Amino acid sequence: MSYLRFRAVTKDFPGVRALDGVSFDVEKGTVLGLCGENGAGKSTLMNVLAGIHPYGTYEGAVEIAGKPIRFRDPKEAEEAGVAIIHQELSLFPEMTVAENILIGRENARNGVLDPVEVFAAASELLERYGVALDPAARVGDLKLGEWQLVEITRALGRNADILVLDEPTSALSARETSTLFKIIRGLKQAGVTMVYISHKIDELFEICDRIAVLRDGRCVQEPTPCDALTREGLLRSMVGRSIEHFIPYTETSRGAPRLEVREWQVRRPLLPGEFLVADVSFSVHSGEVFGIYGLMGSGRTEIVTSLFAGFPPNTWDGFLRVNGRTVRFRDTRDAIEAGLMLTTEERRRFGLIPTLGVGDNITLASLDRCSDSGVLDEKRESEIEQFWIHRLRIKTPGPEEPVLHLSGGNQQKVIVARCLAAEPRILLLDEPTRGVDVGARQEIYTLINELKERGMAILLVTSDLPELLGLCDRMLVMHEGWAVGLFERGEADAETIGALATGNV
Amino acid sequence: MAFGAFVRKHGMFFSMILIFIAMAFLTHWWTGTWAFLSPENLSNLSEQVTVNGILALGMTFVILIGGIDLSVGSILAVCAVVLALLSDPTNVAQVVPASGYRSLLQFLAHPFTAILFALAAGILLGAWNGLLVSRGKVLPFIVTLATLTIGRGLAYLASGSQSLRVKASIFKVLGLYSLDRLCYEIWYGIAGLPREAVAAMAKKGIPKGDQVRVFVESLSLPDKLASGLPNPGKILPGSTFVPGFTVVFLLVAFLAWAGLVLRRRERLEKNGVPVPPKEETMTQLVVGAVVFLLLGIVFASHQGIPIMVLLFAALALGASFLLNRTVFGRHLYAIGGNREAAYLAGVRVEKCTFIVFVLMGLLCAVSGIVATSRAQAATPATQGVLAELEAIAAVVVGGTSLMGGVGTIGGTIIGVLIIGIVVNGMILMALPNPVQLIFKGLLIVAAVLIDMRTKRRSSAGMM
Repeated sequence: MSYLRFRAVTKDFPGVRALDGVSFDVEKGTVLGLCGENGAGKSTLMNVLAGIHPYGTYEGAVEIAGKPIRFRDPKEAEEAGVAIIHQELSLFPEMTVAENILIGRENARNGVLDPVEVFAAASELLERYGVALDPAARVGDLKLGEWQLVEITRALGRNADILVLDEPTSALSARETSTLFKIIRGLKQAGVTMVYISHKIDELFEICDRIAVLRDGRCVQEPTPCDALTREGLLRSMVGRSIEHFIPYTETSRGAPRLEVREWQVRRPLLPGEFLVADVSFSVHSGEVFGIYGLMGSGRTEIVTSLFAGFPPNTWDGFLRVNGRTVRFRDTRDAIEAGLMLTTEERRRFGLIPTLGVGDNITLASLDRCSDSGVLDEKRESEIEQFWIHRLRIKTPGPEEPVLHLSGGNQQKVIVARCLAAEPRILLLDEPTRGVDVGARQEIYTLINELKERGMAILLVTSDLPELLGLCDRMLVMHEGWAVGLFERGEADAETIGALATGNV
Repeated sequence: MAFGAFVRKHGMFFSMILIFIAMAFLTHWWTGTWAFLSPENLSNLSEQVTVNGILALGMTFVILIGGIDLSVGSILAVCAVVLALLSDPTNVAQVVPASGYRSLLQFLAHPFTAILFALAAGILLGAWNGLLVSRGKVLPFIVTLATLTIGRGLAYLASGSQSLRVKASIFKVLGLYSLDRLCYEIWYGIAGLPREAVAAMAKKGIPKGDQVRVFVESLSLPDKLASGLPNPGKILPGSTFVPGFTVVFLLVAFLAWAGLVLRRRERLEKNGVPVPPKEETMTQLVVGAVVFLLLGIVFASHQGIPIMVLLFAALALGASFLLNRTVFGRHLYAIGGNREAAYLAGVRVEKCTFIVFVLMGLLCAVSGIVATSRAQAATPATQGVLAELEAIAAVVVGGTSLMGGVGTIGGTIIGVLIIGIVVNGMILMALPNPVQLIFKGLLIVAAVLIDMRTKRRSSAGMM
């Protein structure tokens, strides 16, 4: 029995048709996997379902249990039992887990909250869905993966019977992912209908009953049972072409050391006793991709960010040599001038300037190259913008376009373009393909290989094992701040590295 | 239609025009005269907005990086008092008891050192704010709230809580002169006065050193001066004041502006940068021509462009250039848009923040100098009181986001004018001061509400 039904849903944005007659059904109590490149229309479709795009701003119809829905705002959707867990989490870090779970539906007596009651109600929910979290913990102290669980519990507490999970595992460790899957299976039993959006094909096969693919706003693959699908076939329908080498690798000869790191330490800013990174040493040579692999909280992000002086100077310590010269950066500008450049992990928070256009975002780190004694040269700036938009095939109506109007993959390319426009010799890439669609991912891989061939030293931080194994010449594995393994390409397999990173040795 | 699109794109400019027209009718209905539209009033309006306008320029920078400065009124007062004190040895004598310190100050007292010290005071207080915000990581709201009271205290202290007059001619030029008067004086100073005029003045007993000034005054007869000085009346029958300098100046300015617009368009086009359609540029030029023409009519029918308005225009141009065409300006937009991301892209956030507050302090000083020149006195108790609110209001009405990252100098100038128009109209209608305050507040709320509405609509189409 079809519970959730999309019928010829079409949605136009100025200049773009985001959805073009999408129709498919989801059965009650099943999980539908929805995949597609960023910009394929997945989020737009889910926003239609969740009332973010109100009734009347799209064509076609959405039906729940045979009744057409006409949500005017997200609140109405929520009351009708539709909940979306967004990629960007919306929790209150200063509040406890319990308060977050119950926010908006507190049972207040005369406007006075009873913290004990809140605690009890939240514990009951957490227990019912098997989420092992302390209701009294402050959300700000939790790991990112646990945030996701809080968010899901919050949605479930609202008696959602349609749950949309948008890239739920992008920040989860393997163990957290399996907890999540356990919860999803439980919900299925309870009759909750779910739409699971992900790029990770293996996950889709593991948890979904059927999988559908969107491309350029159309449904190119009807919901199909998993056993009737193959990994390659799915990839093909996502990008619309066959992928021969999913992760390309170019053989190069390793050059001189460019970046030498010795006894690098990063302290937790407010707790000087605690180390986020403890005595890590390594070096990155010209013409190689050096990978750092680790889970959330392993210190992988902290190490590159601090190398780039992205943290306050009193939080990190150690010896750093760039091109053989010992350096100590006071700020990121020093680092850039020494030839380093960093693409940050969370592009919304630490990468994009939402108020600037695509072009201005690209040139932000290289304004020195398009100005004379501080006065901008529009001609040179425009040349740099055009060059990189062209070179990375950033899909944008023009350089003036607000950067948030771009799809996630293109936003990421803007960040990469900003880095490369600064003409670094040492490139620090922190999760450059997180939340990026297959096509853009492929392009980024190709680009990394090209840069390597031209002699750039590349430090790649990743939590994606295939990416690490496929792309890197050497790889460092981190666990809870410590370097626990250093391998040449081909020396270690996924199991070894996975075991080291999770501390299961 | 091109003009419709143009109006929509520059909505704020046209709402200002609407408010202007509405105020003209409102004051006419209330007072029965068209006094609001008289060149004299509009000239006066242009001077009224200058003090707030200069502050609002700096405030645009501060708010653009997501900050706020509540201390501008107090800094203005400190600078005004320093200026007045050091402009004249007698002011020093009035305030400082006899001592070696007094002799030192009296030795320093000179209009030009006074200006230098006033500017230095502004920079120093701005640097104090900037240091605490950028290095000390204290919230700007808190830091500048503290400076608000510190500054007021300093102003009282430095003036002995009295009002101090400024008498030097430079302050008359800055506060009371128009471009044409200045040019006439320079001209007659170099070329010499007509013989009959010298004779006529000698007969009236006007000393030789004052003759040029008195003669030019007799041509233009500014009401403000007439009260305090012996009114010389017409010295030469038939000699009139023709504000030709203003006309020529505005003409040259218009041509320069139009030339810049066209050249810029051409350059962008040549380099393959997308440019707005030709009709839009034409409409822009026509609207610009009308604005310049109206300015010309207004100023030429009164005294010519006031010097302080010229100063404001120059500062506004400079500020606009700094924001739009320099690396520093771009960095400010980036900081306001996303501080962390800007830092990670190599923007020296602390340094920029510091510079912005120093610039704000400097502009407070300039504004204080202008305000003192206009009033011909510095008054520690009232000068700059609530100036911070008026400046912030102008910036916000002008469309700059208090969250930072969004805003323009053009918008701020429109904001300054909108507030100026409303205040001027209320004064003409002789509304009591409390009522004026209430309406000013309501105006700010209305402007922000309207602004939020339009912004929400334009961002609704996001994916």
